[in-house]
Amino acid sequence: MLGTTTMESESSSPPIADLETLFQQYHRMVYRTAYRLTSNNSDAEDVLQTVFLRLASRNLIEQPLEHAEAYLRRAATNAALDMIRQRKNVANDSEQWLDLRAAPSIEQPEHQVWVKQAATWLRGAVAGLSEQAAEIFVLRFFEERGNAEIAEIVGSTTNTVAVTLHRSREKLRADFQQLLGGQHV
Amino acid sequence: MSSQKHNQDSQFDEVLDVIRHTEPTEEQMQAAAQRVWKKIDAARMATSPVTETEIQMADAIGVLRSQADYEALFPRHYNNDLPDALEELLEARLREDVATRRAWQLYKTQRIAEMAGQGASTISAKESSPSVKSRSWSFRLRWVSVAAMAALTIGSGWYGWNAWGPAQRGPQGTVLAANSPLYVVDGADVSALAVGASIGPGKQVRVPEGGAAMISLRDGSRVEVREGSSFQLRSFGDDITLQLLGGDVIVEAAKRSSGHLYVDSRELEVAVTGTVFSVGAGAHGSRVAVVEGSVLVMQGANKQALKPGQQYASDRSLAPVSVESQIAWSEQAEKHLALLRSLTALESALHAVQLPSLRYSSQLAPYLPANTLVLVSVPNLESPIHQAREILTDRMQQDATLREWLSQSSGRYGLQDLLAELEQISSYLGDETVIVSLPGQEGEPDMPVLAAKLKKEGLEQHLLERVRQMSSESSPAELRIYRDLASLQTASPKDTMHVAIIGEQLVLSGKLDGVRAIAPLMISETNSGLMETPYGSRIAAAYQEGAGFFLIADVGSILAAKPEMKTKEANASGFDDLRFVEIKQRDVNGETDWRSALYFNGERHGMASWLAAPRALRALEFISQDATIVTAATVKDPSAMLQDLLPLISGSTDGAKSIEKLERELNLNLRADLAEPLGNEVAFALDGPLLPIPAWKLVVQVNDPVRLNTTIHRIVEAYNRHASLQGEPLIVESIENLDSLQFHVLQLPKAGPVSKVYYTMAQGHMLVGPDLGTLRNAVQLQAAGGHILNGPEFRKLVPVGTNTGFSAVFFQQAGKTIASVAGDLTRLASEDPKRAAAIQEIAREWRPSMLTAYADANSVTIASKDKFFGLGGSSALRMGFLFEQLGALRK
Repeated sequence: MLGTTTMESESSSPPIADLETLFQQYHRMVYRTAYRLTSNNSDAEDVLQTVFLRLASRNLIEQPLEHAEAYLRRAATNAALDMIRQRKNVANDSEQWLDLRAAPSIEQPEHQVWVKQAATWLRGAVAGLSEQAAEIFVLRFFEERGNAEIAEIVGSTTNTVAVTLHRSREKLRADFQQLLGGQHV
Repeated sequence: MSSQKHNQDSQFDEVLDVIRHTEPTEEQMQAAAQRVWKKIDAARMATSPVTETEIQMADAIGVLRSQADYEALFPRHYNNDLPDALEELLEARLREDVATRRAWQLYKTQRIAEMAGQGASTISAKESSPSVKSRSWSFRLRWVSVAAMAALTIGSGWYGWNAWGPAQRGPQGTVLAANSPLYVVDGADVSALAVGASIGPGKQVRVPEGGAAMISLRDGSRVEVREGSSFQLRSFGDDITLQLLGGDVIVEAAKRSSGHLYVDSRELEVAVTGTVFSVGAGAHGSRVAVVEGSVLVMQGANKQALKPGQQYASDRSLAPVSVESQIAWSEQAEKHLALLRSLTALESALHAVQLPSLRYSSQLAPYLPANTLVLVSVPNLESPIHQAREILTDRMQQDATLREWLSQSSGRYGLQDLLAELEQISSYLGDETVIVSLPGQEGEPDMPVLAAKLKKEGLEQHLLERVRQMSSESSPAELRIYRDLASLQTASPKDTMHVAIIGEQLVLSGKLDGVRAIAPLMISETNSGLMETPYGSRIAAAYQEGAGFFLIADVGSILAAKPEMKTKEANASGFDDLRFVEIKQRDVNGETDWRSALYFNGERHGMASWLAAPRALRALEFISQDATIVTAATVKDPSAMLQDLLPLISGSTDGAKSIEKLERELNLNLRADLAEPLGNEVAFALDGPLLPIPAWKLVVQVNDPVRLNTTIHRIVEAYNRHASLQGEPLIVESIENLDSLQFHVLQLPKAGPVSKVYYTMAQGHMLVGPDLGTLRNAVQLQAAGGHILNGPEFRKLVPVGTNTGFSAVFFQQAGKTIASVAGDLTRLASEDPKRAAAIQEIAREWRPSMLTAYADANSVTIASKDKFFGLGGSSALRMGFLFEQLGALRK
């Protein structure tokens, strides 16, 4: 049923109106995007299922996806962010992150553990941003999309994207510093 | 500080970088993709739009009306060039309709004869036709051999029913066991058939008197043949036909994925897969009885599906075989049964009692105090009690069991005495008696007060006489009678019965305050203003629609007097806003109308709002018309229900923690993973064979079948994690596919009545049941439309009203179902046939009943056509007895 194709790029060919082809082409991208955010296979699988199930209820022949990759990346990002929000807003509970205050130096074996914990905190903190800010932040810094592409994906202007990114990043940096015991800037 | 900040910025970027490069493994991705696609595909199938074939089929159904329409398709069917849709419809018709099948057989025979006449070259030309579809090859090749054989048989002059038959020329069956030799009759020749011998197609096998045989058919079915019976076997394709020429057989049909087993007698044809049933054929006609599973019986144009315990006779003169005559009673069962018979007869006789006509106004209610909390209105029962007494006297004279039971169960005063007393007291009273409760000192409903108009004199003397009779030195009875208001006002509130008989008015209560509050208003006919209050309007409405018996309570005022009941839990339940409760029973045109309603202050909230507005309840489309017990409801959004429920559980710190712990252990979010995928309708039924384990069915409307599947999987995983830590057996999950449906199977670890649970997703619903057959039948039933919503018994019991749907419904026809499986019971309890017969007899008298609920924004109404919602009379006793007996049989 499933092919082994690994093609994930957006093509200039006509929109794909077949769910199975879309799934074959983009399931890896959706899974990866979800995994980066949730860091959990079970959740990433849930996101994959949610995204394509929504697509299954759409009549792709009458309403083809014009920009399938952009649409699916955005859908995966938002579904994963929703999942993090539903779990619990862990980033706001500073009591939980006491261990982060003493960051081991990069040479220490504990450093990897610390980074993983910090990454979990950051994912939660990103999910705690406003919906659009979180989406833009993920697309830029996790998915490495350019500002112009992000603006097109979220239906905004490049300027707005740039400003939103700047503010979000500064806020997250400040929260991070505060968490690590530094001054709020 | 600056260095620290710089350091922290680097760390922030490092974390971002780690996230950016977080990658799943290729294996994980592929495995997840496989699983997810499987689910999406299944969900897509379940909700897929109508296909071209289905459209063709729908069109074809419109075209194919008569047998002639189907026969017109034979040439194309024969040449195998019918469109798929028509092919499917014709094949279904051939499976189910005897006349069409016989016409088709005749057609084929004729075509074979023609082909035989045309010679082998025509056949080979046809074989090599490039237009023939691939699936037709085996079909066609078989026909080459059939044609050749047909040519031979026609040539030999043996032409007829058997001419075309031996499509399968090998053995059709084997003699597994026989207690005397069997005989094969072939024209004038008769030869013996030993155990282990094969039975060829079309051979007539005879079991002599005094013998019996067990035959195995080539599909694995087993046939027990009674002495003096004869039959022959033939087959075509995957179908096997046992032609019962005379006598009796019991068939245990093997389960099969294609084709059918048919049992034909002279009058009937029976089509089956995987079931146990008996067929008897004699000079007067044929009879089919089903023990397990179901069969389709066809007699000419008549078709009837039979369930376990049901019988079909080809002729009206063939009466159903009674099991009662075969048995003698065990002492205890006999005793119970005799009493139940008596009570049942009494209950039936009491149905003839005429209740008083409805009351459209009241001479009492307007004069009740404005602060009345509870009002019960009862019609004058003098005439009904009189009729009931006469019936009881009559039955007691005829029925010693009833007489004995009544004498044993009565105390100092028997039922007859009590009825006589009630009748006599009623004879003094007007057409209505009200029983009222006023607020006590703390606002709670106080001791009730009875009020009525008197229609004749003499009640005072009657009461005094009764008190004198009841009084004894050790327990003196006392009655305080007041003949005017002045004596009532000056009386001391002694703990006794206070009776005011003033003019035409009777007011009595165990509490003097109550009599004092009501008697003056009644006597002076002073309108207290009660009927102008919202509570009074509910009372007025009861009279306007015609009052029989009713109770209306001002629960809002009762709750208002109890601030301690305004708790968080009460608020979450939504019942803190309850305003009025009504219970009404009336007889309209000879039918009982029971209604109970809850009215709320404003819109229902909390748990009280869970019942949604009436809907079509499509979940019931998966339940058959023969279901024993059915209950279904439409509820509001399950997420909202969870929202109502969580504060109750998580109100305490422990509750919140336990929810968090549960979510963590199950690796799911209760709202997103469990509540959101669920729809608004749910139905549960005992639908199918009752023994040995009742076939049950749970139908839940589902919005997101894939997510729900994942949730179930996670719950199972969580259970298994826990169980493996404890060293306990695990739940085993597996999947079975049948008829393009996917069935999930959960093999439960605890051996019990339910060892396996099957579930599948179909038409936006999750169907859960104990076996695959139950669920497959449910899906087919929904598609075919033969469900309970169209059942005559069900429809008959729907209470009169304006709603086209229900918010909830409960329906039982347990009596009918249990009576129908009595044969099965007898088989299972061969050592205890008395009990089986007792069950049958009791169950037969147990009438179906229904309870329906209708919810709107601020009220919920429950209605039924049965007195006491079908649970009155001897029903409870009968139910208890039945369950006791069924339990004993199961053991």
